[in-house]
Amino acid sequence: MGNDHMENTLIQLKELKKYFPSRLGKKKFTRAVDGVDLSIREGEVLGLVGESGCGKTTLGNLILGLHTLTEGDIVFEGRSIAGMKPRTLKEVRKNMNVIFQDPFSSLNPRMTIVDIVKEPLVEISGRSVKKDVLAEVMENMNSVGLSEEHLFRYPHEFSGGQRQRIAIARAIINRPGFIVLDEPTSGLDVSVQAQILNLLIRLKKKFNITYLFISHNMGVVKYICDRVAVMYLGQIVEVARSEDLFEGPRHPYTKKLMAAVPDIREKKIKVAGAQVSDEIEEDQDIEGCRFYPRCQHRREECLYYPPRWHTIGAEHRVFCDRAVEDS
Amino acid sequence: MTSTNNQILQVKDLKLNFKSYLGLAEVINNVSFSVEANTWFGLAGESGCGKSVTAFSILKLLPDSAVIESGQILYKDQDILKKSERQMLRFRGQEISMVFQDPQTSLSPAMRIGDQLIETLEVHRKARGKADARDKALDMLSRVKISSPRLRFRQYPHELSGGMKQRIAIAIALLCQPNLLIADEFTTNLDVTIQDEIIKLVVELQKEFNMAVLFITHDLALIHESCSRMAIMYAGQIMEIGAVEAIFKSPLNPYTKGLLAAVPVITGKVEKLQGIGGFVPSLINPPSGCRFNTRCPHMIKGVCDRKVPDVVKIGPDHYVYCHLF
Repeated sequence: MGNDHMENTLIQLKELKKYFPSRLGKKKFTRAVDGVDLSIREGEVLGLVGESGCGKTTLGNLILGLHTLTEGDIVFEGRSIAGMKPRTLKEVRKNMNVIFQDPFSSLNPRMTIVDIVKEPLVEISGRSVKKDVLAEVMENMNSVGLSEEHLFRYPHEFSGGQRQRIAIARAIINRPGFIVLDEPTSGLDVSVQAQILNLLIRLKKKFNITYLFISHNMGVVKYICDRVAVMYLGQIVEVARSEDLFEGPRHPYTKKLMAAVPDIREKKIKVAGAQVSDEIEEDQDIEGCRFYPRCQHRREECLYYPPRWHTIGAEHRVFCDRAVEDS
Repeated sequence: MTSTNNQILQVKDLKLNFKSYLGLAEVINNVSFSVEANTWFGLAGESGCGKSVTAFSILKLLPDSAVIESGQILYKDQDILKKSERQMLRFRGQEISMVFQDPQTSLSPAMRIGDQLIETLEVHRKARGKADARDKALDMLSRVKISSPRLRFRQYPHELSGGMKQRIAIAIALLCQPNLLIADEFTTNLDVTIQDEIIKLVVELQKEFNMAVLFITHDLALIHESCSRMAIMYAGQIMEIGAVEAIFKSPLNPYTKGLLAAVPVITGKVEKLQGIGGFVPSLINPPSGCRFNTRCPHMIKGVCDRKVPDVVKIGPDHYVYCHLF
């Protein structure tokens, strides 16, 4: 299977599944996450990429305990989270946090910035000495590039980039070892995005945080991630070190994804008979490979037999039988 | 500005304000550019720079709070700003049409796809009878490469994927064969593989229909891929304008340089991204002179904050608005 257990594993996902009941069509379930094996190492930035609806956000939410598992297990710092009692889970969760895409909805519009940032400190870590709390809030505000004058304002007074900084200050105040970043820069302008990415890298080094970086933007993923997992319709299809993946993508889906990313260095569009994939038959009920309907390298057997995991390089694994045939 | 007389659209010294309860917002400040027939022109900039407002003013789709202070928008030889609303009704769609960001809201959820196409043909009196309208609509659906157009004809927008919906919106925009298509962030909500397909499709259609495309986007990479000329806007002012090749190869305005240094790329080595420090200024009482002066690393005191820079010609088709040149 797609296992890559290592010494310094922080989080281990084992055969993780999450099915949502579905009322649409004949299907009984939407298999948002369907058998994911993945490990996240201490101190790394693991990128999780894929198109909308592929299950990447659900996967992040599962790790955070925001959804219950349908099947499988999550091991966090050596402890199994599945079936953990709520009180113990709360204890474990102190060490995790999340930053969402849209800072316009993730911050309570009726709370001042100081209340927003200090809330985890008071509610989760149970700190109560006002002076200490304020000092700590200030320290965190400073490390994300905000100053004292911002403390008693409300979220609507800030721009998108500043709000994301507030969300980051709140996320790091309990010094979690692990943060899920769910499209943290998708709503931002490119000049602000660069600032936030650099801030995230700086904080990671300073506080030794592990990130799961969920994104659909391949350029951003290449910039910030050490390793990347590519997800398609609920399954991971390729995992590799960032430089290996971008230099030599092996899975047909990863290749398609990379070929579609526009670039400011190289022109890619050579228009000759633009192909349009129509109603993308996203079919989870295919017995074989789920990418079959869109795959350019498909063969008949792909439709009937599920692909296996193949190891290519040191840390490069791909979930496709075609990808290893020629080499 | 540019020398060729093949221009289909010329925006000249457009100045536009919005009345708001906080005061007058100076949203567009002396913007000039021109679009040549049969080419792609990219209008780039970050959110709030006025690129969409520019597009809306070309079609006179502005809200009542907008006041056009001065300037001209010439389509061929007609001044669009002088047209009456009655004239605009025929003008929109036939001469210039527009595709918006979100097909979910630009298509009617309560009408079948086919009826939405036929409605457009009937409003513009482009069809002789029902059967002709139906034929024309079906033909257009196949031109935007909708598979099984007869089936789609009877369906409602919610039954289609995002990419298909956007192709329907494009089909409606092209029904009356306009000479200029304004595409406002029309691929922003789509997945990257679908975006790629739609851009390629519109590149093809642009040639087929001999039209010009005014492509408004925040994504510089997309402009690089599709356009031949472009302009960069910041806070209601044009910063740099010219051939895409020239601007990407040697960006001159510090803002253009800053933007390009902030775009993460997937080819080549990872280089440290540089953000642009500071914040976009409020357009109510905006900074005087060059509006980028509050964030510009090369700001010259007493010059940049006093005088709006004039356009300087640098290359055959490369112009910059900056006091450094």
